[in-house]
Amino acid sequence: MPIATTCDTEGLRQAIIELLEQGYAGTRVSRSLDDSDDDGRERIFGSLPPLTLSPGYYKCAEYLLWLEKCKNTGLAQNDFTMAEASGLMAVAEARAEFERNHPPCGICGALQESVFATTCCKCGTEFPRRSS
Amino acid sequence: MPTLDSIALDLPRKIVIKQFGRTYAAIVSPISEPLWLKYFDGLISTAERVGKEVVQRIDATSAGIELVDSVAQFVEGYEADPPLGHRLAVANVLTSAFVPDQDMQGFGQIPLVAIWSANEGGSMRRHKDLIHTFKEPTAEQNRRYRRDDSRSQIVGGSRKGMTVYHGAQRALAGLYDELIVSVEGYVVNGVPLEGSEAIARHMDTYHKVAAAMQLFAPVLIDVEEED
Repeated sequence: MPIATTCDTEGLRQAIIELLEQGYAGTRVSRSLDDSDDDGRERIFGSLPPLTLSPGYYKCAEYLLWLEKCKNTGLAQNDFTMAEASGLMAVAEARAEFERNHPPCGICGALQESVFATTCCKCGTEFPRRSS
Repeated sequence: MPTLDSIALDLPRKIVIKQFGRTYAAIVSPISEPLWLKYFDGLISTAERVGKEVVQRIDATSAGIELVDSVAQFVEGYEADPPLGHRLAVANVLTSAFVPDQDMQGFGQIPLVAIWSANEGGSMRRHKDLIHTFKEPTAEQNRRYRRDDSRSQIVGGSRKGMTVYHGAQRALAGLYDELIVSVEGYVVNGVPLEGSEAIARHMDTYHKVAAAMQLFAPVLIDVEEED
């Protein structure tokens, strides 16, 4: 049974998380790319989090991320189709999950590699230890 | 002024195929928009993940054959039904329009190159002076294109399945009609095609889609490698 990507909100949520994770990892390794030769670049690209779904999910996810930007900047009003509205909810859920996994530093706002980071990856602020 | 290089949109075109020292010809009347949309609906554009790579494929063969069978009359050189190779050759001519090197483009001006019809000497000619000038798309029009372009179905499971794209050609044909300002290189009734409404009414839908698609494509940036 074919799956319409626009209707598969769970698949879209997963695709959006994977794109956000790739974007985050890409930003972190971009400096290393400048200093690397071809083999090094290949290794760095190979270390990025993989995209695991069929390609159509990512095209739809990219559209939804773009639509979210349009909405936030006022370029799109509330004239969304049902599929777009569910897609935007999937974006919101995916962002919330991504931000739970990469909490921002309370001082500089930089997203951390994980919830277990002890110091900020950007400004070096020490985080209080989490009580278990 | 219409020139010898202008495409006559309202006249049947003659498509000449020369093979084995013989000349064959097919006549194709102007193709209506519904027939072109049926052709676009029949294109099969897929993508699937094979290991770390994404493999994309477009199959236009069946849709092209179906289009040719409904619009072409094979009138010269045939003693029986035209062979598959000739039907495919006609399909290739009907879908030959493409946007050449972006250096030829101005803002909002899209050049097309296309093979259309044989000249009086029976040779197929490539038209290189086809220009489509557009208004700038609005954010809403951009959104319509991107929405249609992102639609797809997955066959065979969300992870290992194949993506089948629906395509945005219908949206592009509509957007062309809304955005076109003028064209060069086309004539109707022997006079240059002018005015947005007339252009929307007479323009070949394949040319519409080929030109409008470029409106939404990113411009490639020249990058110089550091020493």
